[in-house]
Amino acid sequence: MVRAERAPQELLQLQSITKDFPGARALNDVSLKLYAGEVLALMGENGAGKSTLMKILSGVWPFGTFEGRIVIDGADRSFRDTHDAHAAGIAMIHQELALFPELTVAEHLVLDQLPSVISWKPIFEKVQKFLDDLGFALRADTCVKQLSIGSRQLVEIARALYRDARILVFDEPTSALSETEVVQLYRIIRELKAQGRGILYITHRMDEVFELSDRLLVLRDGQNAAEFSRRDDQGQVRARGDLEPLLLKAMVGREIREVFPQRAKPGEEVVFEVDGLSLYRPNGKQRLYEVSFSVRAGEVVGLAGLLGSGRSEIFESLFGHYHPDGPKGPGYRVEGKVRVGGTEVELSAPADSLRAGMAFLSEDRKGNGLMLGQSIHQNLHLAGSCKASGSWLQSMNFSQETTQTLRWIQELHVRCVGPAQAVGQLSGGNQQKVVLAKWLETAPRVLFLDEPTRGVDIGAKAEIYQWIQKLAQQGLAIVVVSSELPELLGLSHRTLVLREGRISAEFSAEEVTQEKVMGAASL
Amino acid sequence: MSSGNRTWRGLLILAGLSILLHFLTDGTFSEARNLTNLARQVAINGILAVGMTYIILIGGIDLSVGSVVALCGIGAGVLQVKQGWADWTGLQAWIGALLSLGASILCGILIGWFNGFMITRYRIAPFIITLGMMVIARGAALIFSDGAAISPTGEAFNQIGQGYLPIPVTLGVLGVTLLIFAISAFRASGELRAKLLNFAVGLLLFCGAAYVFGNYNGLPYPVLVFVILAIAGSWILEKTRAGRFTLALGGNPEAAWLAGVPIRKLTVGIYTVMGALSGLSGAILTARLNGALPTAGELFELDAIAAVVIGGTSLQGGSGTVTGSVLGAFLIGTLNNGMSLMAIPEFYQKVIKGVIIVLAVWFDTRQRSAGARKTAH
Repeated sequence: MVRAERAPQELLQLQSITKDFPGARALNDVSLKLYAGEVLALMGENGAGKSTLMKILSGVWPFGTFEGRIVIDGADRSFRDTHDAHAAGIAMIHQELALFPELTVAEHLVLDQLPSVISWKPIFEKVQKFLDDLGFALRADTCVKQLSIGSRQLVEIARALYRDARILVFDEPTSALSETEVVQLYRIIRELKAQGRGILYITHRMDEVFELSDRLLVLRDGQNAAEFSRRDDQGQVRARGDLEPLLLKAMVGREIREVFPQRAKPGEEVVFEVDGLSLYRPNGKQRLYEVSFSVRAGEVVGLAGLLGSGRSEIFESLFGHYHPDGPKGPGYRVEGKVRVGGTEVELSAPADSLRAGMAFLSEDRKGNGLMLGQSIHQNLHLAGSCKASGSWLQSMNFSQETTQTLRWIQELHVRCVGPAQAVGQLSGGNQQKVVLAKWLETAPRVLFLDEPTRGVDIGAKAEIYQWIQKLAQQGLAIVVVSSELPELLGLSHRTLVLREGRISAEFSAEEVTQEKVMGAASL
Repeated sequence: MSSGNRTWRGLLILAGLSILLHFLTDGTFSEARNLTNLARQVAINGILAVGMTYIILIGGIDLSVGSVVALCGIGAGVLQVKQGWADWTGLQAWIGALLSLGASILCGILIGWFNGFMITRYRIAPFIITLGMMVIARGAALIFSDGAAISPTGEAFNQIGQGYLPIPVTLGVLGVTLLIFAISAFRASGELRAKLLNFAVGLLLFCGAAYVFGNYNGLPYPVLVFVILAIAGSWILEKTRAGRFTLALGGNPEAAWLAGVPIRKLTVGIYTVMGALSGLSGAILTARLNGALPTAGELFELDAIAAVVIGGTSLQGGSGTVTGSVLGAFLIGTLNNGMSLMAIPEFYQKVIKGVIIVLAVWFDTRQRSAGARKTAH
């Protein structure tokens, strides 16, 4: 006899949440249920309303600034601020970790419940025991700045559990983690689930969704788009191949057939050439060893390699990051020859590279790609203004610039209120498009793209892929770095593999496979 | 909240304060003579506030301003009095006056350049280097003046601080400026209604200025200089690449550098201009007082910073307007003037002024964060 399955306990219910911003409705009648002991994957493109929904759940948008109900354990809750949400057992594990680098692990855990007179020793001991019980490999007295990103995330999780949070929200937790750290995170999430906590898991990565989730909820344009269960009516786990197309369709609102557009044949002319590029650290240690490669007009070259193999450093040395005034500070030394369109160019500051016809979309768009508080217009024309010649005090052609801004917004499908909107208010994918437009506005001949789709949703990803091919067809020489191998191989005509600052292998699009690349990268 | 709205609100507050003072002082406040003096007093702080706007926009600070005003003023005073240029007559006197002015500005330029150079070349925090310079320049002013006032400066030189543009020329200048303002107001993009409103308020201001300056001695030279600098400062910030670079540098220095903004040149340039404006103010102050004081210009830097901050420029850099700072300078000046007219004891004036500065900025920040909450996603 089969025993009737006990109905799962309902932890959280969001009912008909509607949230308006001036000029835009961010959420329209969105509902969500979370049961104890399950992982609910929350999916949707950037701008679909996931972040807004989580801000409502965590009390960032207080009760009264939205319509709808938050029900926890069957009781209505109205949060005035994030503290109320904490008290109700909700914890956010942030995408960009909200920690204090100078404080110790223990201090993070007890920060909001400190007595007025503190005696640290018992606190450290108590926290250490707590961490040991969890099985987290953390020392209570370490400063957070000494921890890796993965360990910092453990601190956030530990903090949530120390408060005995029952609803944990993970916002793209794996985006900065190494492979082993990801495996560890999966293990912890499964344990949390087994303890009967409810997990809301926001991610763009399909692998994770199918690895972890019990149910999936898709938002699109601020509305519930679809809900799926991993099990069918008979309780059998549904195959990924069946579910994934449905998911993608629900997210994008159309079917995505071919993610990677057709590659056109590259031209003959060599547009970009680098010869013997070496980079030395301030302590004299060499980081890049005589890296040489060339890119033809219309060719997309992929740079593959493990984290720390020197992929980004190649771009950074070619674009002035190691100039004494640059973000990395003084003491670095760069050697090597660079030719753009056959002419040798002297590169020192980013402005030199810009004038030579190069453009570099860095991987850290918030840190060094955008002025988040300023308008789309201002951001979009900055590099172009720097490249333009003439006196600084010449009047700019405002109407012509505005026409350009509007054209880019339209061509790249930037979702925004208008050119005057601050870029900080845009979603990640749309921010990335603004950075891309900023560099395209300088009419470059060579384009370096470092992780062009990081933190970008699937729809915007496909658009960026199409743009890369379109730009190649227009004759640009393009070099791409990406941690996602399928993406890199799908885009590139040629793949160069880096290992410890040296080029270790080169594959054409016909011969390349992920296995070959990984082999040449790790060895 | 958009910068346009803030300008309107600033103008409204200023108008309200003026009407209030008119009644509190039985009309003394709004006499042409008093308003002319008020404008002349505002001019110096205003000139400094224009430069300080740029300094704060790039995320910097310049604490040396007041001391540099004193030192440059002493420089001009030494040339006028100790070198005997004040006794020159005829054309020579005018040349002497201009050379004294030039020397004062040059002195400011050198100090400003040095500040900028130390900040960019040796990465010294602006707060530290300009704090040091504040003390050094004050000391130098005391050394060169032997700790005493240097006076009297020459008649021709004094015109810089005390002279007026004759009334017919004043009216002519105002007329032409109004015309240019009208044309640019109507050529700008936007709704017709907004344009008309802009123009109407502009017209009102110009008529007021014509009434005030026409009924007394004309437009004081310091005010003329201030207005020209304010217009230039505002135009450069909003319409030129230099302005775009300034905002970018303050908004995100790293992104600005990587987009190719020449941050060293820009930073040095802005501190140098701040120095030049301090030198100019030093000469104007000396000319207004008939002589140079080593203790002149005390706390001028803080008045300028207050004007900029009241004007809505963020101390973090990257957002703000020159127009706001100009309004801020007028607000502080009006407050000073009104309290003096009402014979409030000076010690109490300081307390009231401080309280009002804090309240103004608190109110502004609150309004802005409320605005940001409404528009943020």
